[in-house]
Amino acid sequence: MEERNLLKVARERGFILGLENIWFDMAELTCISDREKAAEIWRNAGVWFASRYAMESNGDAVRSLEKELKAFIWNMPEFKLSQGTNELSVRIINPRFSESYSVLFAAFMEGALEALGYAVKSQEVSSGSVRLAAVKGKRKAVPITESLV
Amino acid sequence: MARKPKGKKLVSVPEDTVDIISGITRKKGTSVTKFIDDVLRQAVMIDSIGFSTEDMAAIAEVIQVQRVLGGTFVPLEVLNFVSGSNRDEQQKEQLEQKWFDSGRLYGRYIREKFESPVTTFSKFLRIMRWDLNEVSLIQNGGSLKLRCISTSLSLEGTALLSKFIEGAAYGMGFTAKNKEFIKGMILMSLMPEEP
Repeated sequence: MEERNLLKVARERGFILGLENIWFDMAELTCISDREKAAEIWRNAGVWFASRYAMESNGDAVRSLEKELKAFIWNMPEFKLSQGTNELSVRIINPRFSESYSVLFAAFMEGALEALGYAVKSQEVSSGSVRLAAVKGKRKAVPITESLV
Repeated sequence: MARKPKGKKLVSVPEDTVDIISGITRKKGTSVTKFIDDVLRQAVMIDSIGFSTEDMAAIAEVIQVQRVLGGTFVPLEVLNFVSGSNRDEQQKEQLEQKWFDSGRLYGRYIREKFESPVTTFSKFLRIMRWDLNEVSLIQNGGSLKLRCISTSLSLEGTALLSKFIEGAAYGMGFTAKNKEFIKGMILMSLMPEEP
Protein backbone atom coordinates (compact mmCIF):
# COMPACT_ATOMS: atom_id res chain seq x y z
CA MET A 1 0.00 0.00 0.00
CA GLU A 2 1.19 3.51 -0.80
CA GLU A 3 2.69 5.05 2.35
CA ARG A 4 0.49 8.13 2.46
CA ASN A 5 -2.56 5.99 1.86
CA LEU A 6 -1.40 3.70 4.66
CA LEU A 7 -1.64 6.55 7.17
CA LYS A 8 -5.07 7.55 5.88
CA VAL A 9 -6.44 4.00 6.10
CA ALA A 10 -4.87 3.42 9.53
CA ARG A 11 -6.46 6.59 10.83
CA GLU A 12 -9.86 5.60 9.48
CA ARG A 13 -9.53 2.11 10.98
CA GLY A 14 -8.72 3.50 14.45
CA PHE A 15 -5.06 2.40 14.48
CA ILE A 16 -2.23 4.38 15.95
CA LEU A 17 1.43 4.29 14.94
CA GLY A 18 4.09 3.56 17.52
CA LEU A 19 7.19 1.56 18.24
CA GLU A 20 6.58 -2.15 18.56
CA ASN A 21 8.88 -2.60 21.57
CA ILE A 22 6.40 -0.55 23.62
CA TRP A 23 3.46 -2.64 22.46
CA PHE A 24 5.27 -5.91 23.16
CA ASP A 25 6.21 -4.78 26.67
CA MET A 26 2.72 -3.47 27.33
CA ALA A 27 1.24 -6.75 26.14
CA GLU A 28 3.35 -8.54 28.76
CA LEU A 29 2.14 -6.24 31.52
CA THR A 30 -1.52 -6.47 30.57
CA CYS A 31 -1.39 -10.24 30.23
CA ILE A 32 0.11 -10.50 33.71
CA SER A 33 -2.56 -8.29 35.25
CA ASP A 34 -5.69 -9.28 33.32
CA ARG A 35 -5.15 -11.66 30.42
CA GLU A 36 -8.83 -12.30 29.73
CA LYS A 37 -9.81 -8.66 29.65
CA ALA A 38 -6.81 -7.82 27.43
CA ALA A 39 -7.75 -10.61 24.99
CA GLU A 40 -11.33 -9.36 24.92
CA ILE A 41 -10.19 -5.81 24.07
CA TRP A 42 -8.01 -7.13 21.24
CA ARG A 43 -10.81 -9.37 20.00
CA ASN A 44 -13.20 -6.43 19.93
CA ALA A 45 -10.63 -4.39 18.05
CA GLY A 46 -10.45 -7.23 15.48
CA VAL A 47 -14.23 -7.27 15.11
CA TRP A 48 -14.25 -3.51 14.67
CA PHE A 49 -11.41 -3.62 12.16
CA ALA A 50 -12.89 -6.37 9.98
CA SER A 51 -16.51 -5.21 10.11
CA ARG A 52 -15.69 -2.52 7.60
CA TYR A 53 -14.35 -5.10 5.15
CA ALA A 54 -17.46 -7.19 5.59
CA MET A 55 -19.58 -4.15 4.72
CA GLU A 56 -17.43 -2.39 2.15
CA SER A 57 -15.56 -5.07 0.25
CA ASN A 58 -16.80 -5.96 -3.23
CA GLY A 59 -16.76 -9.72 -2.90
CA ASP A 60 -13.40 -10.63 -1.44
CA ALA A 61 -13.35 -9.27 2.08
CA VAL A 62 -10.76 -11.86 3.19
CA ARG A 63 -8.20 -10.77 0.55
CA SER A 64 -8.82 -7.09 1.36
CA LEU A 65 -8.31 -7.77 5.06
CA GLU A 66 -5.12 -9.74 4.41
CA LYS A 67 -3.72 -7.03 2.15
CA GLU A 68 -4.31 -4.18 4.58
CA LEU A 69 -3.15 -6.05 7.67
CA LYS A 70 0.05 -6.97 5.85
CA ALA A 71 0.57 -3.26 5.20
CA PHE A 72 -0.03 -2.38 8.85
CA ILE A 73 2.32 -4.96 10.31
CA TRP A 74 5.78 -4.39 9.00
CA ASN A 75 8.60 -6.92 9.13
CA MET A 76 6.21 -9.86 9.34
CA PRO A 77 8.01 -12.82 7.76
CA GLU A 78 4.79 -14.73 7.22
CA PHE A 79 1.19 -13.65 7.27
CA LYS A 80 -1.14 -15.80 5.22
CA LEU A 81 -4.88 -16.29 5.05
CA SER A 82 -5.84 -19.42 3.05
CA GLN A 83 -9.46 -19.71 2.03
CA GLY A 84 -11.26 -22.93 1.12
CA THR A 85 -14.93 -23.40 0.25
CA ASN A 86 -16.11 -23.20 3.82
CA GLU A 87 -12.86 -22.92 5.74
CA LEU A 88 -10.28 -20.30 6.39
CA SER A 89 -6.87 -20.73 7.97
CA VAL A 90 -4.48 -18.12 9.30
CA ARG A 91 -0.75 -18.60 9.59
CA ILE A 92 1.40 -15.95 11.20
CA ILE A 93 5.10 -16.25 11.93
CA ASN A 94 6.97 -13.41 13.57
CA PRO A 95 9.95 -14.32 15.73
CA ARG A 96 9.75 -10.93 17.49
CA PHE A 97 6.26 -11.62 18.86
CA SER A 98 6.41 -12.59 22.52
CA GLU A 99 4.05 -15.27 23.78
CA SER A 100 1.73 -12.64 25.29
CA TYR A 101 1.67 -10.57 22.12
CA SER A 102 0.99 -13.72 20.07
CA VAL A 103 -1.97 -14.55 22.33
CA LEU A 104 -3.39 -11.04 21.98
CA PHE A 105 -2.84 -10.93 18.24
CA ALA A 106 -4.58 -14.30 17.92
CA ALA A 107 -7.55 -12.78 19.79
CA PHE A 108 -7.52 -9.86 17.35
CA MET A 109 -7.56 -12.25 14.37
CA GLU A 110 -10.30 -14.35 15.96
CA GLY A 111 -12.49 -11.24 16.23
CA ALA A 112 -11.65 -10.24 12.66
CA LEU A 113 -12.57 -13.69 11.29
CA GLU A 114 -15.82 -13.74 13.23
CA ALA A 115 -16.78 -10.37 11.80
CA LEU A 116 -16.31 -11.89 8.35
CA GLY A 117 -18.61 -14.78 9.24
CA TYR A 118 -16.08 -17.42 10.31
CA ALA A 119 -15.92 -19.16 13.67
CA VAL A 120 -12.53 -20.28 14.95
CA LYS A 121 -12.61 -24.02 15.62
CA SER A 122 -8.99 -24.53 16.60
CA GLN A 123 -5.94 -22.49 17.37
CA GLU A 124 -2.27 -23.02 18.13
CA VAL A 125 -0.52 -20.07 19.66
CA SER A 126 3.05 -19.93 20.88
CA SER A 127 5.80 -17.36 21.08
CA GLY A 128 6.17 -15.94 17.55
CA SER A 129 3.55 -18.16 15.95
CA VAL A 130 -0.22 -18.04 15.49
CA ARG A 131 -2.30 -20.62 13.61
CA LEU A 132 -6.06 -20.46 13.44
CA ALA A 133 -8.52 -22.68 11.64
CA ALA A 134 -12.05 -21.37 11.12
CA VAL A 135 -15.25 -22.52 9.45
CA LYS A 136 -17.87 -20.46 7.71
CA GLY A 137 -21.48 -20.13 8.65
CA LYS A 138 -21.55 -18.90 12.20
CA ARG A 139 -23.29 -15.68 13.15
CA LYS A 140 -21.20 -12.60 12.54
CA ALA A 141 -19.56 -11.24 15.65
CA VAL A 142 -20.43 -7.91 17.16
CA PRO A 143 -18.12 -6.01 19.50
CA ILE A 144 -18.71 -6.77 23.17
CA THR A 145 -19.70 -3.55 24.88
CA GLU A 146 -19.07 -2.76 28.50
CA SER A 147 -22.75 -3.13 29.31
CA LEU A 148 -22.72 -6.75 28.13
CA VAL A 149 -19.64 -7.77 30.09
CA MET B 1 -17.92 2.67 -27.22
CA ALA B 2 -14.84 4.89 -27.25
CA ARG B 3 -13.94 6.34 -23.87
CA LYS B 4 -14.12 10.11 -23.72
CA PRO B 5 -10.61 11.51 -23.08
CA LYS B 6 -10.09 13.40 -19.81
CA GLY B 7 -10.03 17.16 -20.12
CA LYS B 8 -6.72 18.94 -19.57
CA LYS B 9 -5.80 22.41 -18.41
CA LEU B 10 -2.55 24.29 -18.61
CA VAL B 11 -0.83 25.20 -15.35
CA SER B 12 2.46 27.08 -15.29
CA VAL B 13 5.30 25.42 -13.40
CA PRO B 14 8.70 27.11 -12.87
CA GLU B 15 11.20 25.98 -15.47
CA ASP B 16 13.83 24.87 -12.97
CA THR B 17 11.25 22.65 -11.25
CA VAL B 18 10.35 21.05 -14.58
CA ASP B 19 14.06 20.45 -15.27
CA ILE B 20 14.45 18.61 -11.94
CA ILE B 21 11.32 16.56 -12.64
CA SER B 22 12.59 15.72 -16.15
CA GLY B 23 15.77 14.31 -14.63
CA ILE B 24 13.77 12.10 -12.26
CA THR B 25 11.33 10.87 -14.92
CA ARG B 26 14.15 10.02 -17.33
CA LYS B 27 15.67 7.77 -14.67
CA LYS B 28 12.29 6.23 -13.84
CA GLY B 29 11.26 5.81 -17.47
CA THR B 30 7.99 7.67 -17.02
CA SER B 31 6.57 10.92 -18.40
CA VAL B 32 6.71 14.37 -16.80
CA THR B 33 2.92 14.68 -17.14
CA LYS B 34 2.29 11.38 -15.35
CA PHE B 35 4.77 12.27 -12.59
CA ILE B 36 3.15 15.65 -11.96
CA ASP B 37 -0.34 14.11 -12.08
CA ASP B 38 0.67 11.45 -9.51
CA VAL B 39 2.24 14.02 -7.18
CA LEU B 40 -0.79 16.31 -7.37
CA ARG B 41 -3.15 13.43 -6.61
CA GLN B 42 -1.03 12.56 -3.57
CA ALA B 43 -1.20 16.20 -2.47
CA VAL B 44 -5.01 16.11 -2.70
CA MET B 45 -5.08 12.98 -0.55
CA ILE B 46 -2.70 14.48 2.02
CA ASP B 47 -4.99 17.50 2.22
CA SER B 48 -8.03 15.25 2.68
CA ILE B 49 -6.54 13.69 5.83
CA GLY B 50 -5.77 17.05 7.38
CA PHE B 51 -2.08 17.51 6.58
CA SER B 52 -0.49 20.24 4.50
CA THR B 53 1.45 19.50 1.32
CA GLU B 54 4.63 20.53 3.18
CA ASP B 55 4.05 17.44 5.34
CA MET B 56 4.37 15.05 2.38
CA ALA B 57 8.12 14.55 2.75
CA ALA B 58 7.80 14.34 6.54
CA ILE B 59 5.19 11.59 6.25
CA ALA B 60 7.52 9.52 4.06
CA GLU B 61 10.32 10.13 6.61
CA VAL B 62 8.10 9.15 9.54
CA ILE B 63 7.25 5.86 7.87
CA GLN B 64 10.92 5.26 7.10
CA VAL B 65 12.02 5.96 10.70
CA GLN B 66 9.24 3.74 12.05
CA ARG B 67 10.28 0.92 9.76
CA VAL B 68 13.92 1.21 10.85
CA LEU B 69 13.06 1.33 14.56
CA GLY B 70 10.40 -1.38 14.39
CA GLY B 71 7.18 0.56 14.20
CA THR B 72 3.76 -0.95 13.99
CA PHE B 73 0.11 0.03 14.06
CA VAL B 74 -2.01 -0.87 17.07
CA PRO B 75 -5.72 -0.20 17.66
CA LEU B 76 -6.19 3.01 19.66
CA GLU B 77 -8.73 1.19 21.83
CA VAL B 78 -5.98 -1.21 22.89
CA LEU B 79 -3.68 1.68 23.84
CA ASN B 80 -6.43 3.25 25.92
CA PHE B 81 -7.05 -0.02 27.72
CA VAL B 82 -3.39 -0.74 28.38
CA SER B 83 -2.70 2.72 29.76
CA GLY B 84 -5.94 2.59 31.76
CA SER B 85 -6.49 3.73 35.31
CA ASN B 86 -6.70 0.21 36.80
CA ARG B 87 -2.92 -0.18 37.09
CA ASP B 88 -1.19 -0.31 40.45
CA GLU B 89 1.68 2.06 41.21
CA GLN B 90 4.36 -0.48 40.32
CA GLN B 91 2.79 -1.19 36.92
CA LYS B 92 2.40 2.52 36.22
CA GLU B 93 6.08 3.06 36.96
CA GLN B 94 7.03 0.13 34.72
CA LEU B 95 4.91 1.47 31.87
CA GLU B 96 6.29 4.97 32.23
CA GLN B 97 9.85 3.64 32.19
CA LYS B 98 9.12 1.67 29.01
CA TRP B 99 7.69 4.73 27.29
CA PHE B 100 10.67 6.80 28.42
CA ASP B 101 13.13 4.19 27.09
CA SER B 102 11.28 3.93 23.81
CA GLY B 103 11.28 7.72 23.45
CA ARG B 104 15.00 7.81 24.20
CA LEU B 105 15.71 5.33 21.38
CA TYR B 106 13.53 7.34 19.02
CA GLY B 107 15.18 10.63 19.99
CA ARG B 108 18.68 9.19 19.68
CA TYR B 109 17.97 7.97 16.16
CA ILE B 110 16.44 11.29 15.10
CA ARG B 111 19.43 13.15 16.53
CA GLU B 112 21.77 11.07 14.38
CA LYS B 113 19.71 11.35 11.23
CA PHE B 114 18.29 14.88 11.10
CA GLU B 115 19.85 18.33 11.28
CA SER B 116 17.11 19.89 13.43
CA PRO B 117 16.11 16.96 15.62
CA VAL B 118 13.61 18.72 17.90
CA THR B 119 11.75 20.38 15.02
CA THR B 120 11.73 17.04 13.20
CA PHE B 121 10.50 15.26 16.32
CA SER B 122 7.59 17.67 16.82
CA LYS B 123 6.61 17.26 13.17
CA PHE B 124 6.84 13.46 13.48
CA LEU B 125 4.77 13.51 16.66
CA ARG B 126 1.98 15.37 14.89
CA ILE B 127 1.99 12.81 12.06
CA MET B 128 2.34 9.69 14.23
CA ARG B 129 -0.19 10.68 16.82
CA TRP B 130 -3.29 11.84 15.01
CA ASP B 131 -5.11 11.85 18.33
CA LEU B 132 -3.18 15.07 19.09
CA ASN B 133 -5.00 18.23 18.05
CA GLU B 134 -1.93 20.40 18.43
CA VAL B 135 1.83 19.94 18.68
CA SER B 136 3.69 23.22 18.89
CA LEU B 137 7.31 24.08 19.46
CA ILE B 138 8.20 27.65 20.42
CA GLN B 139 11.66 29.12 20.89
CA ASN B 140 11.74 30.63 24.38
CA GLY B 141 15.10 32.26 25.06
CA GLY B 142 17.69 29.49 25.29
CA SER B 143 15.10 26.74 25.51
CA LEU B 144 12.31 25.27 23.41
CA LYS B 145 8.79 25.11 24.74
CA LEU B 146 6.79 22.08 23.61
CA ARG B 147 3.01 21.94 23.92
CA CYS B 148 0.75 19.02 22.98
CA ILE B 149 -3.01 19.17 23.19
CA SER B 150 -5.51 16.37 22.67
CA THR B 151 -9.21 16.30 23.30
CA SER B 152 -9.30 12.49 23.25
CA LEU B 153 -6.33 11.46 25.44
CA SER B 154 -7.00 10.05 28.88
CA LEU B 155 -5.00 11.23 31.89
CA GLU B 156 -3.01 7.98 31.85
CA GLY B 157 -2.42 8.22 28.10
CA THR B 158 -1.21 11.80 28.56
CA ALA B 159 1.20 10.67 31.30
CA LEU B 160 2.70 7.96 29.06
CA LEU B 161 3.04 10.27 26.08
CA SER B 162 4.71 12.82 28.34
CA LYS B 163 7.27 10.18 29.35
CA PHE B 164 7.86 9.27 25.71
CA ILE B 165 8.54 12.93 24.87
CA GLU B 166 10.81 13.28 27.91
CA GLY B 167 12.76 10.23 26.79
CA ALA B 168 12.98 11.52 23.22
CA ALA B 169 14.26 14.88 24.51
CA TYR B 170 16.96 13.06 26.47
CA GLY B 171 17.88 11.01 23.39
CA MET B 172 18.17 14.20 21.33
CA GLY B 173 20.52 15.79 23.87
CA PHE B 174 18.02 17.92 25.75
CA THR B 175 16.81 17.99 29.31
CA ALA B 176 13.08 18.30 29.88
CA LYS B 177 12.27 20.93 32.51
CA ASN B 178 9.13 22.59 33.89
CA LYS B 179 7.18 19.46 32.98
CA GLU B 180 3.45 19.75 33.43
CA PHE B 181 0.64 17.59 32.29
CA ILE B 182 -3.06 17.44 32.85
CA LYS B 183 -5.61 15.32 30.99
CA GLY B 184 -5.08 16.05 27.30
CA MET B 185 -2.30 18.61 27.71
CA ILE B 186 1.48 18.39 27.99
CA LEU B 187 3.79 21.35 28.52
CA MET B 188 7.55 21.15 28.90
CA SER B 189 10.67 23.16 28.23
CA LEU B 190 13.59 21.51 26.49
CA MET B 191 17.03 22.79 27.49
CA PRO B 192 20.12 21.78 25.50
CA GLU B 193 22.47 19.69 27.61
CA GLU B 194 25.73 21.30 28.62
CA PRO B 195 28.59 20.06 26.39
